[in-house]
Amino acid sequence: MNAVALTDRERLLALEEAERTFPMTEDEFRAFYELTARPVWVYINRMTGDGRLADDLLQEAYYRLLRTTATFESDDHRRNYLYRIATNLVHDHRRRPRADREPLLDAEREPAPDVAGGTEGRAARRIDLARAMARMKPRERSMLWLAYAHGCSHEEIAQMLGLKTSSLKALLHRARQRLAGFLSQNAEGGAR
Amino acid sequence: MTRRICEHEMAVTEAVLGRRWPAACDQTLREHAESCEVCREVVEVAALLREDYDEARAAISRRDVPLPSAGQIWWRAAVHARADAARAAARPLVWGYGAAAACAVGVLAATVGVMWPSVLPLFDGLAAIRSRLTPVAFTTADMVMATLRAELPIVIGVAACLVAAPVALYFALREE
Repeated sequence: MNAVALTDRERLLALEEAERTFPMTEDEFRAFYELTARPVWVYINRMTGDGRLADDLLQEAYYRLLRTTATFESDDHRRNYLYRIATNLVHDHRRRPRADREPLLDAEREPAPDVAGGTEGRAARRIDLARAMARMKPRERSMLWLAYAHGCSHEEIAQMLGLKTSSLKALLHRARQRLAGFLSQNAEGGAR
Repeated sequence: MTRRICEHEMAVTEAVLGRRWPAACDQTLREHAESCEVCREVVEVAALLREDYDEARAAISRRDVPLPSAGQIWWRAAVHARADAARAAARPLVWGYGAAAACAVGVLAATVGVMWPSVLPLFDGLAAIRSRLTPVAFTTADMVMATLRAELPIVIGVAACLVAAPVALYFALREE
């Protein structure tokens, strides 16, 4: 969101207006945000590979959700819509000139502090995964992440990505095959 | 690429994502997955992505900059929405300023055109000065005078545009 210049009084009015014009109350929003913010941030982060960008896009995604005129049958429906906004924001960002963009492998994938051993192996696996994911098409990345990291159903993924449920199974299958292929290539490359 | 389908795919996925794989899940499902290429692929990919997801979620709390709170997001969205509304309301005014400036330029040009015949006698006074100049200066002054006489309305119009255009642009773009 861009910086805007408003007086203190205008800011107070803005809060009053928000209660009237946003499609949910502040309390409802807080509950929804607590439930969804982390998974959505992780999703954006893994799709863009940039933590700071994920912060910005997360805020923009919630802003657009609050400004939408769409009606939602449930929180699940609203959550799917939020993922769709996030996906579109990520795609929009990808379409910008390359100078604006950051690499897909980011510093936040540094290994976690070693608490139970095996950190090096886990970090290596995650880096292999990041490399393989970076070679996937954006839509494939989104599908795989939503299906196997978030555990979303085919219907939910179709809603989130704006695809037909009937074609999703085949697309997901193909994406999984490609990812497995890239992972085995990485493993062979590492073993040499 | 041949399309392979396995009816146990969903069960295997759920077991991996529910962290029941391999120890806490059905023995027959495990045995099946060992012999099924599709399910082996599902286990490999799902286990890796799930591990990465868990790690990424845990990493949020280790970040220097925590995620913004719900209150912050709400506040910023409210302020942003109001600013957007103000901008949208001001847009017709901005166009109005631009149109007014363009009209002003047009009126100015028209006025110059109408007034031009009454301005012409002033040039006769200048002709008297011309007669006192040296031959070289006379030639130059003559050329300037002739040009001015013929093109003055256009020159004034262009000058007016040069002055008014930045002003109109300023009004049109200052909200952006």
